[in-house]
Amino acid sequence: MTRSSGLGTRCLPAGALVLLSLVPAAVGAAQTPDSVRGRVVSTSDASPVPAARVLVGGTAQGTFTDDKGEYRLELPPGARTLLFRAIGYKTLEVAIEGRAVVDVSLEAAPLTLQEQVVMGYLTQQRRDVSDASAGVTGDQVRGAQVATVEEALRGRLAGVQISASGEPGRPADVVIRGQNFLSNSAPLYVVDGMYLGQNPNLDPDDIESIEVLKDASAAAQYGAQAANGVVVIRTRRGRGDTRVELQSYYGYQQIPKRVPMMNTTDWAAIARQAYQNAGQQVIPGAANPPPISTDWQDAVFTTGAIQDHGVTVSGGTAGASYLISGGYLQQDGAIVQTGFHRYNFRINSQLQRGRLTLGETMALSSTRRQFLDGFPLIDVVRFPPAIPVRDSTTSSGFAFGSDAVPTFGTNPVGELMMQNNWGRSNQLIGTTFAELQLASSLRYRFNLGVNLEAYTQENFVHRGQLRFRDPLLPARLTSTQDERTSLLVENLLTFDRSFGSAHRLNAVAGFTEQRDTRDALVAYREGYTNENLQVIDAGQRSNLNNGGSRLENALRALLVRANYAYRDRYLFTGSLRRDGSSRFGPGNRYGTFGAASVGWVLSQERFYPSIPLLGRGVDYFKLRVSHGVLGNQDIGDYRFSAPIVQGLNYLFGSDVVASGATQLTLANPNIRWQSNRETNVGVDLGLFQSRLTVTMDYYVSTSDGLLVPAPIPPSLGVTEFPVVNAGTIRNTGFELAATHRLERGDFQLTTSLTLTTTRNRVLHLGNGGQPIFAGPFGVARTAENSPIGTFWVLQTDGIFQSAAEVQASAQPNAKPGDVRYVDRNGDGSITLDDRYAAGSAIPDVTGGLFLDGHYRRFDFTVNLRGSFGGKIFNVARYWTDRMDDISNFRQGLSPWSPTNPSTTTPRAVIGPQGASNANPLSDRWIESGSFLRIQNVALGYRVPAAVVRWLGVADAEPRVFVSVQNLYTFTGFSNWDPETLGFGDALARGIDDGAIYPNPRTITFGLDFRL
Amino acid sequence: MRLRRLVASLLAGAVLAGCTNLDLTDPNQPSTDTFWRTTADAVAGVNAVYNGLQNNGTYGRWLVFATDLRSDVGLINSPWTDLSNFTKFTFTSYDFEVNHDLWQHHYQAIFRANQVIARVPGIAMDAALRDRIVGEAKFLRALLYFNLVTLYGNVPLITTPPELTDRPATVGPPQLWAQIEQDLTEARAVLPQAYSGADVGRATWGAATALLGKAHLQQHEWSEGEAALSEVIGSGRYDLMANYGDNFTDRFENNVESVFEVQFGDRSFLSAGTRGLNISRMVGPCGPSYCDGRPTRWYIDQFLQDTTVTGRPDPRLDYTLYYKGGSDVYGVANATYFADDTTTHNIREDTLIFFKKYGEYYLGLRDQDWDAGINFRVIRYADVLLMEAEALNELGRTAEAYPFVDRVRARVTMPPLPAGLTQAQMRDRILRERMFELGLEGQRWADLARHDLLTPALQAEDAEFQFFVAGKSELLPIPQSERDLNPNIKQNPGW
Repeated sequence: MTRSSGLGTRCLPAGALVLLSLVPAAVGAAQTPDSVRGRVVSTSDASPVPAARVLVGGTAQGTFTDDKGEYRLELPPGARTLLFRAIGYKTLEVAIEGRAVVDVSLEAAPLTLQEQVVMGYLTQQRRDVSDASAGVTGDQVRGAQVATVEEALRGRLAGVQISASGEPGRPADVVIRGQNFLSNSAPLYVVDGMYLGQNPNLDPDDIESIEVLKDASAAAQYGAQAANGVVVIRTRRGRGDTRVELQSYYGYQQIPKRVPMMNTTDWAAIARQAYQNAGQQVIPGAANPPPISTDWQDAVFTTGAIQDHGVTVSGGTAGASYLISGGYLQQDGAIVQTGFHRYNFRINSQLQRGRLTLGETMALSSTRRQFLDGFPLIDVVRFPPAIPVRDSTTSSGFAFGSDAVPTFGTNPVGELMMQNNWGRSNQLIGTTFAELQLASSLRYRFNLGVNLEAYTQENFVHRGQLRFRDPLLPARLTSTQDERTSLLVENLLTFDRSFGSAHRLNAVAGFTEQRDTRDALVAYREGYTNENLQVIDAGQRSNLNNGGSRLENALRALLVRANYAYRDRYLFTGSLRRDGSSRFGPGNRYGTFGAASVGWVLSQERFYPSIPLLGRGVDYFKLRVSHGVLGNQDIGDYRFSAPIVQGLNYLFGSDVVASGATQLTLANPNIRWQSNRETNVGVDLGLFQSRLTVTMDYYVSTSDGLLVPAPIPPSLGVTEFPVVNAGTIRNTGFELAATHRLERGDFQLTTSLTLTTTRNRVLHLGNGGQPIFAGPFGVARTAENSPIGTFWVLQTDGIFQSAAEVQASAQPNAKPGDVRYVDRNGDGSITLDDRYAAGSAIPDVTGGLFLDGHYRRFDFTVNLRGSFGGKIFNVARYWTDRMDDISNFRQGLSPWSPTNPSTTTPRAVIGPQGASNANPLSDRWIESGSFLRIQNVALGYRVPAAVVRWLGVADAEPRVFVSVQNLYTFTGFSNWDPETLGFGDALARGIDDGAIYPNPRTITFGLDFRL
Repeated sequence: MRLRRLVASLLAGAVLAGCTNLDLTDPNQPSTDTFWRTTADAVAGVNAVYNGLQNNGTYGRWLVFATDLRSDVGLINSPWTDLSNFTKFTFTSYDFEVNHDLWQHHYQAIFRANQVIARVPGIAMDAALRDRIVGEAKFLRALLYFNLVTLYGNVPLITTPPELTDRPATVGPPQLWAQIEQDLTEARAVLPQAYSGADVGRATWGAATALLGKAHLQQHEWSEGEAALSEVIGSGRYDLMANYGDNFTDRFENNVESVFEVQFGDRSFLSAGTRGLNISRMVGPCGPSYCDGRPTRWYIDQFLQDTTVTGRPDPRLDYTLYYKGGSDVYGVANATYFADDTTTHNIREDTLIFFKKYGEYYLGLRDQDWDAGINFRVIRYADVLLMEAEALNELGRTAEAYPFVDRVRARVTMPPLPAGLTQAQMRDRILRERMFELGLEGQRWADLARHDLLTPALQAEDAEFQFFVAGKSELLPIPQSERDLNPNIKQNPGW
């Protein structure tokens, strides 16, 4: 870039410029010496790093370090920086600044064997780990340019399935190692030691590392909360010289696909057929279609925007370190009205004096999410095109049909625009600790953790009709205040010692307590005369309503965990934890969980090199086996007793309110812990001087005494399903994670591949093996010997073409043109007893491929992600293809008629004659959810310092980048996005139910600046 | 030394922190461990059963869809295709909202009644009040099972609070009727003749006795039915209101004609935990309401066949229906509303008739709100008189039936029935009288069923009966969610 092209920098969003102006100007560069020498060591243990590449920045000129990690290099004139690269370490670039000696220490790079891994309460080197876990580094998270941490993890980690929605601010769905629960799906998050049951709203820029504890041995230290897996997140700390980092990006978002729908002319033609075939008078809007053809997708989808700006200042000395960061993210959704923003601030600091270390981490955030309301993504396809978006004669200004074009749907634009439904969360997540070195290898640590969240949700609904003949309700506001306080107190003793060169032991024992309180207040008012005043006080005082409640739970536990390594060859890890939880009745309150793993580093054995093939080709070989038991207590509070519900009131006399109260649910005082028994076998390989690392795991996880909200027949009259310990689920899976590093001169390429297979089987269900039905129309069935949420529907077999075919079938009342169903039970008639298992949303294989490369000043990323074998129940398609209704039809839909012998689309006939074709429990609505997505393509360029010299900051080399997320998706799925969350019912996944939000395509431009 | 002090306080903190209480009980609501102990608990418990009558699937919304709109007096013409299918005896899903709610909300209320019947007798309290409360619950349970047996025929009979593992089996009408009769017999033995003040609206002896009569009639047990009904009449507690229309507003609720009403409040009572009547929002005139449900042309034609003593149309017509030439529609002059203006309605004139009863047109609002504050009349004295006439006629005492029918007719200035009717003619006249008197009051389906008139032949009156399948459509299908979860349930024939 030349100086004149510096305009590009000036065009940065205002936020970034403000941040840039904060940067202190540095002094000019010193003269370049003729040569430089120095020593390269590892940050973790100060050991020398041999064979590291040392390059003059921006050139191909360089050398290697020797066995002692030392190097010497002639410098060309104008050399300003040195680049240090070594296998297994992060590349480091430092300014020479006129020094003749440049010593550096390199940080261990991800997924290598020397890396320090935070395995929960203890930190280990990757090579000493005998448990199954997978991790990513902050760099990998930051490279993704997404609003939330989980979005960045998609496809990165074998065994971790993450589905995100495009809805700004909606947390992604995280499933670790298959679904082994029937209710809450969230894993436990442990952020800097603080337990969080919900997805923490962290700025991806603040992440140091994320480790997902997958097997029982890794997770058992979290006992009763670990059954869904544990995500251990460590946020960044300061170290070394003062450093300022700026990151800023701006992007556009659009829904990348349109579902092709009919225009008014085509729609009217089929609607006419539907009425005529039923012998009914054609509605005027179809008989004489109006000159209107609304594309509802164009009306609802818009160009969204995302921007993110952050600054981090960090530094430290031997005895103290600090990191201060702040960030701002703003996202305008690709669907009108929706959006999200987040402000976040963090201070992490640490101080050591003698035997005492004190530290804290504290993150403050404020987020605001504008929600998606109603079912806009069903109405967007089913609303007839003959209705305009707006109509100035209606009370809302939105059109919604008439007698000429009657519809049951709601104007999707109006539905989004006439509501102001937002949620704001102000959250403080903090930990503080004091650690005392009691002896050389023994430390006592006192941890305090806090998570305070003040959540406000306000849903203001304007006055105005949005649906044909809807009542005109007053403008109304529901305001919810939800305050959450979670506290953690821990006392830990940590022991860490090597005995000679053969034995290494590190262990922790502790006592931990958690307490969680939620206070909610809800207020309702209506009759707002000035609809700009959207607060409770501005509403009428009649018909007001309010409510309040409190939920509390507490948990305490004793835990022990120890790692022992003998001669770097034999590795042992054991964990034991005893938990007590207030969520169970007094008799079932305590549970003990534990696990152990062993590892054998075969490649350390003397005989190893003599093993054919392995001995030469594979330079690192570790076998791991683990087994253990984890718990689950996530059933909500007080579920062991049946509450008496108040407020079931009635009016007697002259409208005198009489209080009513009774039991609506059944109690189950005997609920106890769910326990997951899990066995894992894994192998870690390093090949070609560990340029290629491969981790493979196979696991069998059996959940016993599954905590299930047991569905009971409606005839028992119970409104809410009681939680019971019913059933056993087995998940088995194979996971592969491989990383390859290639280095050819200036070209560096890291290739990572993850593959996960999942097999989910319900082995046993309580209540006599009675299946559980969930989702719309009860389409998702959880039954013995099949996966959770299997779609249970009638099988279709084309369309009846003739009366003779009807005659020969099990549907004597059908007509040619009707859907033929398969009489699977052979009883001569088609009933719901003929349903079959048409697959489930659980994919057979998921995977990701990541290419991260550098070439001179360029860096690039390509990320592919795929999911294969899952099915989707497409509710939107049910509306567009049912053919007994005049909702809009999908383009190209050609219903059967005597002259058009379709084999896929039944005849169009409105009303009862078409009802059998409109059975929602049919495999006509089940589609393959397999996809391969180009998730992210990014290109970065490090701008030479000379170009930005005008900034007056010495040696500053900003990186500019452009990325495209969700570039393209290869899929056969007919709706917008096969990655669907729907309502998020754990028992009914893979349902495209209109509450979905397709993932947008995002084009981002950004800038990274390190000083 | 500072360090030592710090360490000491840390250790102290560690020790003190170890006192988290795991014994946490729900601070929001009592539990079953502490309930069903006091008089207040008993009263609250039975009030909750009444509350269950306000749900969509009980009297709040859907019941008239099954009893009146499904019959020959009503039809559904809605852009909600699945709702339109309901009165055409057609389902794309047996869990369709209306069918599902009818089933579920009836059983939810039954669960509440069963709790009262099981728990209240164990409460140490005033014995008379205790008996009354149990009697109220038995009456309500009988009413709920009456609806279930007339709509579904074969349903599980649950009379005690269930256990988690209960999977109650379908039982046939005989057992259901036996339970209904037993509950009503026990209820009427303990229920008072009347209430005062803030208890008005609770189930009375009259309500239980009248429902017992109704139950006998539905089983063709004419003499037992007659015995019960004549007791109600003989009690002298009831009379007809002078003005027929006063039975369908919120202004004369729990009046002298009222035997049992479900009490509803308008939207101002929503926050008090009660609900309004949704019927007229769904089945009122187009514009002010969804007009999903409408009367059949045949129904209005029948009305117009008979005139008052002064030669005018039956006055009940203008309280029951809107039609061209009838009353104003929610403040809009009849001539304006029915101007046959294709831009506003675009409906053929012959289908431009709507239900009026239970609408709040008299409040001066242009739109019908979801929650009307009008009580739903479950049993009116006029119904009792016509049932008595029907029982007498079926017993061959046709002549004795006249005064009861004529009394109902006289109130609306309709002439007495012609003399000399045969038993069959009288049966027909009584049924017609019930149709005019009790339109949209939840009676028609059971009336037709009682006389085996539910056949495809009704398509002459209501074209929707072209979809009626004999041997199947008489009963609703058991919701699929019940069948999927309860292996002991049999689906009704033909479904």
